Amino acid sequence: MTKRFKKLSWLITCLLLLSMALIGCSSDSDKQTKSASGEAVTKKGGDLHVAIDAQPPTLDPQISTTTATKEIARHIFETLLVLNPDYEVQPMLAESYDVSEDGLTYTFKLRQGVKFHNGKEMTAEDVVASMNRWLTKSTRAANAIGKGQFEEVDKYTVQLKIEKPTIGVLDVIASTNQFAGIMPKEIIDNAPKDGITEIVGTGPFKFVEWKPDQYIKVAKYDDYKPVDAPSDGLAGKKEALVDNIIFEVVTDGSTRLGGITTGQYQIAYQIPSDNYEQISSSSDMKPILNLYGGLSFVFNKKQGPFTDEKLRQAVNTGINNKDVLIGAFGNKKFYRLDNGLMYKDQKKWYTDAGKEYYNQNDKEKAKQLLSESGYKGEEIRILTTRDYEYSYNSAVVMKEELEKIGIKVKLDVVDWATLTSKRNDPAAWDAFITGFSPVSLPTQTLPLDPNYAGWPADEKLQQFTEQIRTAASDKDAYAKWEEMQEYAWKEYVPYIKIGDYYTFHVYRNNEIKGNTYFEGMILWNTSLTK
Amino acid sequence: MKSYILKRILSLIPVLLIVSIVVFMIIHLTPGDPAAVILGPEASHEDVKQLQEELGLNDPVYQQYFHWVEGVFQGNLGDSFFMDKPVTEAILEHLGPTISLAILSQITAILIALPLGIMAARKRGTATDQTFMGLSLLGISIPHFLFGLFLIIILAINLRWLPVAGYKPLSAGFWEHIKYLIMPAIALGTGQAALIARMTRSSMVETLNLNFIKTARSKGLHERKVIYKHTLRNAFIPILTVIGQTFGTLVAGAAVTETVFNIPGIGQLIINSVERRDYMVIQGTVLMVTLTYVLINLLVDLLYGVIDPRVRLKKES
Repeated sequence: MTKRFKKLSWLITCLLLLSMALIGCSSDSDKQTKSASGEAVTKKGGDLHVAIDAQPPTLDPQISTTTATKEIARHIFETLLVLNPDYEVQPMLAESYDVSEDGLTYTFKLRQGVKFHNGKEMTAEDVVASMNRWLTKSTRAANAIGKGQFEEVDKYTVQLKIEKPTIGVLDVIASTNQFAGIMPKEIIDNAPKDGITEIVGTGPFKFVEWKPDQYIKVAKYDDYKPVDAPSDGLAGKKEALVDNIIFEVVTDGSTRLGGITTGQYQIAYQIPSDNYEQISSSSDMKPILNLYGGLSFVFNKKQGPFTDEKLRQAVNTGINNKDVLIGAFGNKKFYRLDNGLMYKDQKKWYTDAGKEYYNQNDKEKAKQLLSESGYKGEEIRILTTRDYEYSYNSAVVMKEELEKIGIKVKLDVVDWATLTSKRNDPAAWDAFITGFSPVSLPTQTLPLDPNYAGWPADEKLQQFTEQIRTAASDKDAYAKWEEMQEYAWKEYVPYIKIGDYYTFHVYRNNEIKGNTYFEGMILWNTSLTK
Repeated sequence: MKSYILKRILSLIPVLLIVSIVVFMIIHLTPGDPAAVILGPEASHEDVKQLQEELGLNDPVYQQYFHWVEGVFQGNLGDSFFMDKPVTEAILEHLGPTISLAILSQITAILIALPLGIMAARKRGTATDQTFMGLSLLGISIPHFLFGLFLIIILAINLRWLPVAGYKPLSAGFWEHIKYLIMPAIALGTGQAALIARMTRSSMVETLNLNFIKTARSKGLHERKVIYKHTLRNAFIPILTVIGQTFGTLVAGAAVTETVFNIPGIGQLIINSVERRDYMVIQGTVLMVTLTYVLINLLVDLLYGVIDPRVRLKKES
C-alpha cells in the first residue's frame, strides 16, 4: 500500500508541475501572439460575442424602458431622428424635417428605398403606424407631444400635428430610451399587448434567433441603406462589418469578467467596479466608463413625514453626498459630485442653479430645520434593494447620515421586482433610492413628474413644467428650467440627486476596433481585427 | 408489485395538488409583477396598470388559480410572459442542459465516491480512512459555486483549457457539448461525491462485520470478490438511496452553479423567472421538478428489488 501511495503522490506532483508549466506556457504564447500580430488588421465578417448582464424582457423598443432592450434593439430598429454625441438632433430615416411657423405641424420627408428586413420598402404608412403606436405606449412621449397624431401626406411624407406649440418634440422623437423604432405596419397591427413578436426593423443588423436565457443573435443585413453622412454617435453612416453579433446573456459579473479575460467574449457589459484597476492595467482589455445616471433619494410627498417640506430640506442640508457616493461606488472614477438635474454632458439643458443647496453637510443647520419641522421622531422607512449593490450601500450610508441629525431610520430591503411594485403604494414607504438615466428634456425628468412614485404634486413645480413646455424659444425654456431647478433645490426638494454615477463595460482592444459608445454600445462600424 | 407502483403514482396527486397551491399562493402574495418588469424601471404607474389589466393579472387570485389548474389538466401549463412561448416548451428547452449536467455530475460523483468509500471502509481507523473522510467533509462543506469559481480561475483563466462559461447543445458536437460541462460537473460532482462516499463507507463497514462476510473470508475467497461481490452488493441499498436523492436534487437544477457557469438549465430558469415574476413558468417548473423528484425516488425504490432479491421477496410475500 505504501508503494501505491508513493506512486499516487508522484503522479499528483507530476500533474502539479505540468499545470504550472502550462500556466507559464499559456502566458508566453499570449505574448507571442501580440508581438507577431503587430498592427491590428481589419478582418471582414466574423462573429462578435458580447456578454450582456441581463436578458431583455422584450426586443420591442417602443414598450420597454429596460437597458437590455435598448442596447440590442438599437442595432435592429431605427428612428426618424437620432442624437449625435452632443445631443443634437440629426435625421436618420427622415431625409429632412420641417416645423411650421405656428409650431403645430412637423413635416418629415422620408428617405426612399429603405427596406425592412422582410424585404418590404419602408413608406409613410409604416411610419404613421409606428409613431402613433409609440405615442400610446410611451408616457414620456405622450407627455411631451400631448395629443399629437401622425398622418400620411404622401408615400414618402408624414406630418405630426399637435394641439399647442411645445418645445423638444424633435428631441423626444430622437430619444434613445423606449425609442420610436419604425416597424412594418402589418406587424404593429398584429402585435399582442406585451410587445411585438416579429422583430423586423430597418437597421444594419437583422434579428436571427433568440434562445431564452442563452443568447440573442443578429446578423448583418445585406440590403441595408446607410445615410450619406459621416458617422457620428447614433447619427450618420452605419455599416455592419461583422457577420453576426451574438449577445450572450451572462447574469453573473465574475463570469463575464472571466469570459472577457480569456477572450470568449470581445465585449462584456457591467463589470463589477472592484475590477476596474485590474482591467485598466491589462494590455488586452480597455474599460469604457459610461454615465449611467443620477443616484437619487426620492421622498414620498403624498403620505408620511416627508410631506413636510422643512423635513425634506433638513435631510438635504444635513447629508454628506460624497460619503454616500463613496459608500455606494468606492472608486472615485465611478461617481461625480454635481447638482445638475439634467447632466453636465447634456450641454443644451445643463445648469448648476441651486448648487449652494447641494452637498451642504451642515448638520447643525439641519438639526435647526428639523426642529422647525413637524417631525415627531417617527421611524422613516427607506425602501432599497440588494439586487443593485449601490442602492443598498448608499441606503446604509444615508441611514447613518439621517441618524446623525436625529432622524430614526429603518431600511426596508426587498428584491427589485418587489421594490418597483411597493413604491407605487404611498402607505408602504417614506423614501427610496434609485438611479435615473438621462432624459432628452427637463420636462421628462421622472422624479419631477407628479404621477411618478414620490408624487411631487406641487403647483409651482407644475407651473414651471408647463412654462418650459410652452416656451416661445429654447432660450426661454432654459431660463425657466434654471428657475425650476433652483426652486427644487432651495424650497420644494422633491428628491435629492446625490450625484452622477458611472458603470463600466470592457472590450478587447486588440480583437475589435471601431466600437463607440453613446447612451449605450454602438456596434455598427465595428470590426474584428483577429 | 403493480399495485405498489400504482399506489405510489396515485399518492402523487395530493402531493402535486398541495405543491401547486403553496407555490401559487407564495408567488402571488409576493409583491411585484411581470408587467412592471416588462416595462422596465422607469415605466409610469399608469402604463404598468394598463399592462396588468391586459395580461389578466388583476383577476382574483382564486380565479387565476382555477384557470391555471384547468389548463394543467388539459396538459397546458400556460404561456411565459417573457419567452413568448408555452411553458412546457420553455421547460423542455432548459431541461436538456440540466439533464446533461446532472448525468455528468453524477458520473463524476460515483467515480470519486465509490473507490474512496470502499477504500476508507477497508482501511477503517487508519490514516487513509481519516484522510479520505476528512476530504469528504471538506467536499460537503465547500459551497459548489465557490469550488466552481476556483476551477474557473485555474482551468479556464490560467490554463485556458476550458471555456469560462456557457453551453452548447449536443447537436454542436460531443466535445463542444462536454467541454462546457466539465467544470460545473466537477464542482457539483465533488460535493455529491462527499455524501455518497460517507454513506458507502458506513454501509460497507456495517456489512463487513456481518457473519456471511466472515464466512466468505474463511472459505478462502479472494478479498476482491469478498469486497465487490458480497459486501458492496449487500451494502448498496443505502448507497443507492443517496445516489437517487442527489440525482433528484441535480435534476431539480443547481441554481447557483448554473448561474456561475451560465448554463441555461432548470435552476437558472427558476431563478430568472422569480426575478421576472414570470408566474406561469415558476408554477410549471416547480410542478415538473416535484414530479421528477418523486418519480426518481420511486425508480430507486423499484431498483432495491433488482439489487437485493430479499426486498423483492418481502414485497411479494
